[in-house]
Amino acid sequence: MLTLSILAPLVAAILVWIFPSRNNYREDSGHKPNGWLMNVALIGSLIAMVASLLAASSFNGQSAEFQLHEVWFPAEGKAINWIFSVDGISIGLYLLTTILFPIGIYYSYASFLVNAKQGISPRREKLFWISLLFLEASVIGVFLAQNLITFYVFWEIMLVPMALLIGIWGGSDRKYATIKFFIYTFAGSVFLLVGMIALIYAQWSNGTNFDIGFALYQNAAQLPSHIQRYLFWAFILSFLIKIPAFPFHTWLPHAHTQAPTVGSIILAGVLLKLGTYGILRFSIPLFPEAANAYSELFMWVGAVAIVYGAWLAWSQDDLKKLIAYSSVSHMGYIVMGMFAGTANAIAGSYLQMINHGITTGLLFMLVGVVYDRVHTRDIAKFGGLAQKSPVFATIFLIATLSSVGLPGTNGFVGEFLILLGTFEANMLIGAIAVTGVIFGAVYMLQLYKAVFFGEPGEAIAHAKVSLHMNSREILLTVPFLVLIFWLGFKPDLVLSPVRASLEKIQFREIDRSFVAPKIGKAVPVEGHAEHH
Amino acid sequence: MEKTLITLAMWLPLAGFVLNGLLSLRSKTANQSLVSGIGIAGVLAPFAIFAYLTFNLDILHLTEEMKEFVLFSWMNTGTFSIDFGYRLDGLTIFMAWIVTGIGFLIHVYSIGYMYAEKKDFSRFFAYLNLFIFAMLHLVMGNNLVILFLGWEGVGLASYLLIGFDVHKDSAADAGKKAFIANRIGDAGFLIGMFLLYQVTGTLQYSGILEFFSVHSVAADLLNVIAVFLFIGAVGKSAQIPLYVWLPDAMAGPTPVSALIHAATMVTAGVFMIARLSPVFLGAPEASTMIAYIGASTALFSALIALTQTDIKKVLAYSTVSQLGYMFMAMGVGAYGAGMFHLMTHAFFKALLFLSSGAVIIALHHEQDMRRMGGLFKHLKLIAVLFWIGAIAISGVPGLSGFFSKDMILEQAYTFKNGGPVLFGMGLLTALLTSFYVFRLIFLTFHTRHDGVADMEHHHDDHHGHDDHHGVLPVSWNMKAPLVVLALLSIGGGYVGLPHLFTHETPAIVSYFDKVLEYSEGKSPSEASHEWKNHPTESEEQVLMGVSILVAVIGFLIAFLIYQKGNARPQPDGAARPFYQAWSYNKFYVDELYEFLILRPMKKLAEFSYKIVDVKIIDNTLDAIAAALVAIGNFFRSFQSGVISDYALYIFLGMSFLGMILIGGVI
Repeated sequence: MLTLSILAPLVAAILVWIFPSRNNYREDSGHKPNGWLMNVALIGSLIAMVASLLAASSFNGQSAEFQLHEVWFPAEGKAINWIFSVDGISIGLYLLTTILFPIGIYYSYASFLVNAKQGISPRREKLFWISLLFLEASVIGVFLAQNLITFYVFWEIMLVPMALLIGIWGGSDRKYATIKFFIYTFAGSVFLLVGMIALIYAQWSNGTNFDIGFALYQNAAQLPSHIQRYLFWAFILSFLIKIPAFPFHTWLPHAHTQAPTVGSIILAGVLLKLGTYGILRFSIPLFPEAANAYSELFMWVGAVAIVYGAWLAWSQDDLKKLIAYSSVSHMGYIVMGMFAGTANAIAGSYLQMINHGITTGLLFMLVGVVYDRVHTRDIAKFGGLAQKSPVFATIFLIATLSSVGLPGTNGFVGEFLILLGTFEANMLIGAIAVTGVIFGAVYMLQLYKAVFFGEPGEAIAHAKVSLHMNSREILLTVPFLVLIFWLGFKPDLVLSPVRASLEKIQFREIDRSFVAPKIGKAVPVEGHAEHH
Repeated sequence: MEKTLITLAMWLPLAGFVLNGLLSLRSKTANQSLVSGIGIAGVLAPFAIFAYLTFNLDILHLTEEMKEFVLFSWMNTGTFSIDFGYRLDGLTIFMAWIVTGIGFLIHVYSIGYMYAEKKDFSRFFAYLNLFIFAMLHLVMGNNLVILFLGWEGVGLASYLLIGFDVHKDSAADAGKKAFIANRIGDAGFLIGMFLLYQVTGTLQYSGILEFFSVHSVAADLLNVIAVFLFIGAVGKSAQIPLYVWLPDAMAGPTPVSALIHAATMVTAGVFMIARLSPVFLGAPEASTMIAYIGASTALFSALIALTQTDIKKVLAYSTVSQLGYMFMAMGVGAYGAGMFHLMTHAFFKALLFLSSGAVIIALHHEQDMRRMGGLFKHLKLIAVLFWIGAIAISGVPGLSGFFSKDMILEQAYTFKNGGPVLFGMGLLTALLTSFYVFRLIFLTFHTRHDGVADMEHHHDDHHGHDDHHGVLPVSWNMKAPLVVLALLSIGGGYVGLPHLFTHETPAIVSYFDKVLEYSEGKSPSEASHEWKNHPTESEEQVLMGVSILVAVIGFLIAFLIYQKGNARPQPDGAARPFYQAWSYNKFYVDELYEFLILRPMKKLAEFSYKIVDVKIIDNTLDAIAAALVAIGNFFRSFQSGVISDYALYIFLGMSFLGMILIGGVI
């Protein structure tokens, strides 16, 4: 099943490629988007989704082990094994990926249709679908690979289709954005490769191979601490750029503003998670000593990103840029929580990875919906959309509330657990991060007010097409809305399968140093925490 | 059975919200009887259920197992778990009565009030039910996280209802301001919650109460926790320094002002303190601070209310002021008095707001008291009801406000940490209250100025057409809730007859002493016993006499100036003596915040973006990239493909090697 979810998009990509249809049209050719091509791509990604759901149904959430091994090229000794498997750390992100892609593909088609009505034809459709499908296969590969080298191969391949998506179908400044995205993240990857090779080299003698697993974790943990620290830096640099964490975040707004909508959905929804996934998969379990030693530093990195990212988002006048910077802030929560290292914080961070994929994915999609109709992202030209398109306003409001972490939505549970857990680790950092709750509301409500309230702005008043969402677009938001509330009330959907794996990673016990002296009958304090 | 009923009561308002919400998305002009039916059901059903439970259960003697029950597990990380469940006890049922009871009356009133607005009728009722849903969770939850769910949920409902008129920029701004001011409080509240969790290891009420019954926690620690939790109350209940959102919130429809911004939501902070009484009673310094902030808020906002000309703004500042009284009571440990005033205030302030709504509707959406006057002959019933509300709030003996306010003043006077100061502030506030509320009455309903003629004249000038003539009739479904509220405002105080009359602890105080238990079974009164002196009977008589006196004085001053003297408030631009100008301009607090906080923050954010992010971080990155390119280009330039260049490099290289060789030989 795991292998199938990688192969299905690839096969679909080949089918799209050999599909008999002309492909290269100009934007003003009046050519309609080809539904057949989309159907092939959609079916490929749906097969991957079904396969992943089947795999998840046989996944044992009680265990922290790698499960459901599927070996492609079995090899003995120190070879590079093509093994795919999942554990608690990857299962959630794996499912997020396979669910987001079909939505992204179908959304792109919906977007092509809206544009076609206005006489804007899709360009190079075949390559577009092929890029998306390759991107899906390689992202899934990253999450499933159980071998360092296989992991790295997928990690790098992924850059190519994403760069194509931005570079070919992007906005007016796409060249600069593409090069920046590609080179920056690629430069980060070089550190990762060096780190991986050095890691294996350092323990070559005791027979470790490139397979990721407890043997690797155990052996790595025995490395001398200065070597652990060097390796830790090599890995984390690459991840920080990918996340992107402060101060390596400046590629993100360029990439987002230039990327086509589906590119933004996938970039925010899945690609950013690769960095935080790397922290959970490698940085903390491989180098626990180093992670512990630097945990305060990286909690600060996260906390600064929360506040600073929110300030940046507040200063934007471009819809997509604002949401891009909000991602910097939200990813800050995740980094901070992971390095807080308590059970609550890590669980919250994991949930927040999924949450951010859902919420920001939805926000970018909604921005895409309105952009296709008014062809501007300048917030000053909006206004009054609430009267023009109440359904759109309602869905956008739900996404906004999820983004600001209103209780009842998914965003709250994640933020709450992260902040609670960070507080357990370090009160000062926790208190600073809590101000993110205020700034988050400031920029999102400013955005909501500017776009939806007041009298219709220039772009809204002069829109040439209906501003109402069509039924296809409304349908596409349903999975997001369901997940927002479901996870808001039952976060166990994500948390319970991953709990066993996360327990292995948590590296900080709760500090209850100032618990009170008892009076009267003695009741152990720990008892309170457990008996509810 | 009880559990099913409570669960139904908690979720039916949400069903109403969803149904009416979907209706409003389908068409802007849904069937009004259907919509109001759904909306009413969404609040009447829980009201009926809570009434049934009150009469069929012995609320004061529920076992711990009966008090709390769990619907489902909400969050669970292995070390921390919180359930989604409810708590039924004397405090929650008290609040549930107020929320659903007043909520029901205001829903009925809203049918009449919103009838004129054909558009968005269903959206309005959807939001109202959403508010009931959130407010019930705020009070009925069995842990602090659900309280927070309700806490932010009512904030959302408030945001949506303040900005209900989506065309208006000012309404949207007011909604945003309310949400953000609340969020500032919420951030503090979160910190308080986290600290409390660090200490007790749980956020569930039963666990917290049990913890405090067996542990004694250092007062220092509890002071810190109490202060952070109180920051949340400062935001939600509009105290200094975060009160600024509440007057702006009057941009919302008047029923919303009555329900959310007077009777229920804004009292959430008072409820929270009562709920966590072990924390606050164990934190004497924090409680003293709360008392002083409450007293200052009460006085300060009463000063602003003196000169306001918008009828709703007067009532808004009055609400802030009355909330200050409640916090003064909570701060001195008089929990029964605080909750008592919460209740009576809900009655008379809802009455005042809804009556002002009737005036506003009758005058075609006129809110400026400078264009009112002489309305008594047009709106007799409304005027009488308004008088009842005014008498109740001003503290004239016999009506509800007198009893609760007097109890607070007396308790404040006995407080050891500067009781007379608190009492003085409270007394001055009472004088101002009486003055501003009767000023409002005279300016609106009496005086020789004829508001109706003024209105017709005004509209003729501006519109030149006839459809604005005459006072609009007030429908029965607006009048009926007003009558009920008036009766409650009159009779609601008799649950708290003072000690002076009965020589017993007032019924409501002993009720809350039973309901709110503190460590080792000590009631709030006992726990705060040592914070207070104990007044003699003659002291009690003097205190009461003084407080009656100031109410009368306030009335007389208002009568002399506005009725006898026929004074009118000046137009906006007119020159005022400085003390009036300061009050009229709200002591320039909004401007001060703008100047001291908002603008610097915005500047900092812009600096972060334009300078730090773009100029420093991103340009450095581009510079590194450019440098790499330049280095590459430099080396590339050597590979020119010209043979003679290469010959030169070979020659130079050979010479260099040769020199090294020669150097080595020498």
